[in-house]
Parts: sequence; C-alpha cells; structure tokens
Amino acid sequence: MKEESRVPYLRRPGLGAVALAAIAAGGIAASSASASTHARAAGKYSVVYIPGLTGNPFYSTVACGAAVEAKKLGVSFSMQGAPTFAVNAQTPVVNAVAARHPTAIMISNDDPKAMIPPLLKAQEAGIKIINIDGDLAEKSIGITNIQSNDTLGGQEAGQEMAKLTGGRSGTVLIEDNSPGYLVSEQRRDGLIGYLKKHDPKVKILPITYTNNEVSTAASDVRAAATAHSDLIGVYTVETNNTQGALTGLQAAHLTGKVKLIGFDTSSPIVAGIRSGQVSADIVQYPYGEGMIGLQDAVMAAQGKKVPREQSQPFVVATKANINTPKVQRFIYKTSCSA
Amino acid sequence: MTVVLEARDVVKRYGHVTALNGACFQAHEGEVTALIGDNGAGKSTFVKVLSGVIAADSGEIALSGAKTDLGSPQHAKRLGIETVFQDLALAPDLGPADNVFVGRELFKPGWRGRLRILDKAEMRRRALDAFVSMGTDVKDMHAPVAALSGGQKQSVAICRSVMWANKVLFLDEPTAALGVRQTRNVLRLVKHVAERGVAVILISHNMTEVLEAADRIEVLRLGQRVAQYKADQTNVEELVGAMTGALDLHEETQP
Amino acid sequence: MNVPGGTTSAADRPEPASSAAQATSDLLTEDWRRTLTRTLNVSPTYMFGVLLSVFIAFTIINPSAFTSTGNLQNITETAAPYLVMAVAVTYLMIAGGLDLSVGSVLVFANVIAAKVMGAIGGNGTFPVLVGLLAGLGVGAGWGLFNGFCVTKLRVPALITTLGTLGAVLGAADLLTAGNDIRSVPLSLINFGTGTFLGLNYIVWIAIGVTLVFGLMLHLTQFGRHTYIVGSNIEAARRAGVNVDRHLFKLYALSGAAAGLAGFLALGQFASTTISGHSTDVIIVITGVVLGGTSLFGGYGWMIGTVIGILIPTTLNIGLVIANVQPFWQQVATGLILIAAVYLDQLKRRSRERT
Repeated sequence: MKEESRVPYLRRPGLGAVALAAIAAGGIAASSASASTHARAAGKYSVVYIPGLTGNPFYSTVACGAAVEAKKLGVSFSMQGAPTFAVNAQTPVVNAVAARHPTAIMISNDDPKAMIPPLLKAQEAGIKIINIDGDLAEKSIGITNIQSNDTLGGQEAGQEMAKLTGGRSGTVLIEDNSPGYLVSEQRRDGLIGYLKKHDPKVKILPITYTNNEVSTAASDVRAAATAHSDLIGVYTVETNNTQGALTGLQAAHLTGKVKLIGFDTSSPIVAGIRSGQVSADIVQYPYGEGMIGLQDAVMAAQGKKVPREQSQPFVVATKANINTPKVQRFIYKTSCSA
Repeated sequence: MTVVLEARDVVKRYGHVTALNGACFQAHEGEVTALIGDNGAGKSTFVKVLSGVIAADSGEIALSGAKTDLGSPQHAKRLGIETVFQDLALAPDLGPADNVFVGRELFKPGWRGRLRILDKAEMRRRALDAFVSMGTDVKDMHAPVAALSGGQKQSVAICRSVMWANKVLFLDEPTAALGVRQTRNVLRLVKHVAERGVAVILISHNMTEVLEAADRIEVLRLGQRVAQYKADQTNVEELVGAMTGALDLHEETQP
Repeated sequence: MNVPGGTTSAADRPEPASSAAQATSDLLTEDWRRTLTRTLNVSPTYMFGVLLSVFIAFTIINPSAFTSTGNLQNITETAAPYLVMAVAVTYLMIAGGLDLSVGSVLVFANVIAAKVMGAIGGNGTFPVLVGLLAGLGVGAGWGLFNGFCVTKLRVPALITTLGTLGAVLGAADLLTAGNDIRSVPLSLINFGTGTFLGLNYIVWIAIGVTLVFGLMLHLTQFGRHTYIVGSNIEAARRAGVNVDRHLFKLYALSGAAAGLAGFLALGQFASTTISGHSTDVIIVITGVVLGGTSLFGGYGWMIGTVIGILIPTTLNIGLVIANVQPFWQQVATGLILIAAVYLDQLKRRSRERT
C-alpha cells in the first residue's frame, strides 16, 4: 500500500527521513506539550500547525521554525497531522484541533477547495487561520498565505540548466511525481518556459512520473540515458525524484556527464551537492515559513494587520555555496536542535 | 418387509479404476442394514451414489419401488434420504439447534416470514425436543457445536438427519471417533430411528458393532455385492471371510 | 416428518414426536441464564468497555473540547463512511471472505458519480440521484467482478481483491489523470454538510445501513447462511445452501457499500478524494476484527463492528485533542488491535476447552 505515493507536494521523505522526522517531531511535541499546559494556565496564546502530512522533512522544518519562534515569544505550539496527504484525512484533524480552540491554526492544506468548510468553521469560531505553503480558493478564509513562488523556482532551475548546457544541443529529462498538481506543474512549466525562450536547442523529453518512488526515479533516469545518448540534463521537481535520479546517475557512472538539477533537500541530496554530483538544487525556505507564520499568529492575536500574501525566497544551492551560512539556513531539518 | 431403497447393477468408473462393478443393494423399512466391505471394496462410492452426491455410469436406483434419478444431495434430501457423513458436516461456530435446521430454517409467521426472519426460539425448542426424545445429552442450545464432546457432536449430526429422514438414513462410520459409552448411545439411537420406520444403512468396519446393531448385513467386495446375511444367522468369521474373499462365494448367498 | 425446506412458517409445521415437553421447557429456561453469561463474555461487550474507557479518559483530559457537539460530530462524520464499508465487510468476513479493494472501489465510485453528475449538470435532486445509482452500480459491479474471480475462477479472495485494490484505483486514475473532480452539485454538498438532530445526514445514512444490515445478519435466513458458509462451507453446500451465489451476493454487497461510501464522500468533501483512501481498508478491517468478527469466518456481530470502527476514530481524534504527538495515534491504534485480537483468542480458546 503506497499511501503516500500521491503527495502532490513532492516531498515524500525516504524511510530514514521518516524515522528522523519522527524523532524530531517527538522533540517538538514533548517540549510543546509541556509548554502548552504552562501557557494555557498563563492565559497566553496557543498555535497549532497542521502539515499536509506527518513525517515529511519540509513540513517538519516548518514546525521547527515555528517552534523556535514560539519559544522566543512565549507562545505554546504543537503540530498535529494525519499520515496521509488527503482531505478526508486532514478534515477530522482540523475539526479536532478546532475543538480545542487554539489562538491560531497554521495549516498546509491538502486541497485549496475541499478544506474550506472545516477551516471556515474554525475561523467562525474565532480561530486565526494562517496558510502555509498554499492558499485556499476562498481568500476570505485565513489572514495570510506564506509560500514560495513555484513558477519562479522553476525559472531559476531553467536558468541553471541553460548555464550548464552552455548552448549545446541535447535532451533533458524531467521527473515528476504524478500528473495534476499545481505546484509541480508550476515548477515544470517554469523550467520549460525558460529553456524554450533562452536555450531552444535543448529538446525536452516526455515527462516521466515516478509516483514519488526513489527506485522508479533511479531506473527512469538510467532508461532515458540508454535511450538517448545525447541526454545532457535531468530536472527533478522534488526530494525523492532528486534522490532517485542521483542514485541512478551514480550507478550508471553518468554523474558529471549528465547534469542534475534538483528540488528540495535531504541528506543524500546535500552530500550530492557537496560532491558536485548534483549541479544545482532549488531550495525553499520552510524554516522561515514557520517562523513568519508564528509571528503572524501573535500579531493577529494582538489585533495587528498582517499582509495577505507573503512570498518566500528560494536559494539555489551549489557545490560553491552549500557551506555558506546563508544557504545552510535553507536546508530542511530533520531535527530541530540545529 | 417392504423394500425402500433398491440399487441394481450399479457401475461407477474413475478413469481406469472400476469402483462399482454391477453392485446391488437393498434396504428395508424399519430395519438397520449394514453395508460392510474391506478398504477399496467400493463402500464410500456406493454411499455417494445412493445419496445423490455422485451419479453412477449405469444401473438403476429405485425408491419405494419407483425408479428414481437422485440427481443431487438436495434432491435426495427432498425424497427423504439423509446422510450423516463421517466428517459430520456441522458448522462449529453455530449452536446445535442452528445446525439441525441448516438449510431448513423455520420462519416467523406472517410478514416476518416473508422477510425470511428466523423463528429461532421455535427452532431451539424443536431441536431440544428431538435431542431429549432421542435420549441424547445435548442440552445447551446456545453453546457452539465446537464446545461439545465428540459423542455430542455425533448426536447432533444424527438427530439432524433423523429429524428430516422419512425414508432412508445413511450413517457413514458413525462410531469411528467415539469411546465405548458414546458408541453404545449412538447405536441405541440408530435402532431407535429404525423403529420409527426409516430404512437405516450403517456403514462400518467394526464387525461386533455391526452384528449388534444391524438386522441385515450386505457385503461388498471389488465393487460387487457378494453376500447378504441376517444378522442373527451369521458371525464375525463368516463376515470377514466374505469381505476378504477367503470364503468361496461363486453365487450370491441369499439369506 | 420431513417438510421440504423453504418458506413454510413454523406454525404450519408438524410437531416432532415429543415425549419430553416439560423437560424441554425447563431446559429452555436454563438457556436464558446461559445466554446472559455468554453475552457478558463476548468481544463486543469487552470492546464496548474499551470504547467507554477511551471516551471517559478523553473527557477527563479535556471535557469542554472532547464532549462538545462539534467534536462528537467530527467523530461520527469521520467514522460514517468507514462504518458503511465495514458493515458489508463484516458479512464477508463472517462468510470467510475478504475484500481488500473497498478503498479503491470507493475512489472509483467517487469518480464515476462525480463524472456522471458533472455530465448531467445542474444542482437539483435529479443529478444527485443518478450519481447515487451510478456510485452504487459501479461499486456493485466491481464487487461482482471480485465475486466472479473468487467463486468461478477460484482465485483466492486475498489475491483477487489485492489485484482489484491496485487495478480499480489505476482505472480511477486513468479516468481522471489523477486529478480530483470538483463538479459536485450544490444540492449534494448541502446534503453532505446538513444535520438532523445534531447529527450529519451522512451519519444518519450510516446508522440506517448498519441497522438494516445488522438486523438482517442476526435475524434472517440470509444472515444465518452467511454464518454457515463461513463456519463450514462444506456443511453449507451439503445443506443445500447455494454457496457460490451467496458469496457472489456478499462481494456485490461489499462493492455496493464502498460505492455508497464513495458517493457520500463527495457530499462530505465537495470533491473526489482520489488520494485519500489507500488506508481505508486497514481501518475497515481493523474495525471489523476489533469488533470480534473472526478472521477465519463463522463468528461475528454487527454491534461489534460499530464499536470496532468507533474505537480507532475516537482514539485518533481524542489524541489530537489531548495534544499527543501525531505518530502516537498510529502506534496506539495498532497496539489496541493486537491486544484486542489476543484477548479474543484467549477467550475463544477457553471457550472451546469447556
């Protein structure tokens, strides 16, 4: 049963990452649970973050950023979520959290439309809704949306790809999870649009869908390299695809010859960047999304105005900059202690 | 004595193996007829043919003098032929009464009957009645059959068949798994059934038991009936001789 | 004495010869006391105790939140679609069958109903009714396919429904390219969010389905045959029960129930939920088994299934309210399942020894 194979956010962690994230989240919950009773007694604010699914490095990093900020501001914070990325899994969690009546709910919704009714109910009950990494279709719900611009990220990837191919002709493979999700479409179209305009000699192969499986991503890359001797680049739009493509290229001894541009980070990907086997990697800033989300919760509770849209930056990590503090801040955390 | 069930020249082949080679058989009203034979004599095949489980290749079966095609076990049951198989065919999770009425459930009267709503109390009452009147010690109608003793299970299976058998009752090795006291109870039950006018056919390899319980004995060997005896006019040696072929029987021995 | 089996009512039947009517009635009185003792000793009774303890525990932890109307609605609304499927799966498991494909069939019916309603268009009752029939129909269709493979092709139920688990979901994906459909008529969304006596309409439907099929299981011939088929399939055959046809009906029932759940989910979420049901089958089978239905057939109660579905749902939602870290919810549900089945085994063993 592949319950997480359709995660549209393209960030399904490997097993190890799940375990690590579990440990990490354990830390958060343990510290926040005790903080929570304390804060409640003191009549302070409480904030709950509901991720798209539990056990995912991206969402765990959002929680890390929020938890650190919460401690600083004396707010009680916890994370509650379902293990599946689906509205019917997220809805009961939202309802249960709302029953507890926290000051604010930070949520990475599993569907911009179907999640409206439970969140509307929560908002009507006086809970502030803060959208993290994806807005609802109805803008009157939620005081803000904090998110990266995926089209921009895709364009940055296209820019890197054009730099690497240097005007040579050849083919480029794009690996995606499964069709039909806005985020991955934007990441793909950003790159495709950029290359069409600036690097027309590059031919883009039909997109392969890996169902978020590392092994499929690896074998698809090898198959493409065999079928197309002029394969010069691979673009992967999420953690597992990036990780799989990296493994595939290593196994086929193609690293260096075929340039890999990835999305999101995990420890194998970071190692790949350090060794240069991942030429460039587009990294979002979930830690910052968590921090800002929590600050917004407090500001809204104090009656201050919060901007409705807040775009978060990307960083392009390469071998040259991976160890700089600026890039390090962006790397997804599997443990909040860092 | 009226002949209730009669089989003539029944042949049944499984590929190259001839299980029944022109076998004949008779069972009389109100009598216990034992069908005996060595392993491989064709006993079980014969019982299956006579209870409608399998069809014979050729031969005739007559019920109360009329030629019949049994067709299926269900049809045989409708004709009043019941069989207690060696494995008893009981549902272990259900109670004794439930087992007695399997496939023959009673319904509540009126609209509830049309909705096929079971009359559980009535089924329990009638089953208990049967268990008591047949002298069994099955008393708890709710306990699953799995919780009963071997003898009690046998009693449930026999009582079930007896309740519905109005012509013929086959009992395939009914005492094979039982102790002495329970065996005695079962044999008493068998006689009791025959006294009610049913033709009881007992399949067994225990000669003492056969001589004790049966009125008539028919011997099957190599797919044919080789001898018939009155139980009170024969003995174990003669039966064993007929079964094994040690006794020279050129023609069928008529009682 | 033999009366051909069938629809004759007890009143029309001849009495079996009885010489011990008094003894019989005495034993029947004694029966009553045995029944009571036995009721106190079966899984649903135990599991009701577990559910009650879970409920009390969460009420103590956070009384205002846990016993709020909103939370009780949340629990019942979350449990309702699982319950609808679990009712049918209870039949199937009592009969010794298994259906792993319910979640996928739900999604398929979900998609077909949405497509049909979208094609008809409008927001009235008519497209909704057609959508309901379409959902039930395709659900039952897949159920019949499962039944055909199991009874006619003799492919084991585990393999058949494991196959349809993947194939049906794949088919739903083919129809939608993996994209959720959002063209749900407003009338259905209003229905899916509306309440009567404080409970969601969908919850009422689940209660209705459970009542009807629960009574049918325990009171009618159809239910009785379900038990016999699961307890000893050969005995059922010899008693003249058409085993294959019965299993066919049960697989169709399971499919239709998943179809109904898929249709109801459209009203609940105003969208298909293609990716949201891959673990449904685990929840459903966990619920049925928690409720005391045997994994090997022949044994089970509908009330047990209701309790079995409510335990993990209440636990999950309660743990969120108690602010326990999410991963513990899965751990707790898993351990409770194992503990429940272990207890049940102990009881069965001691029962069979006596």
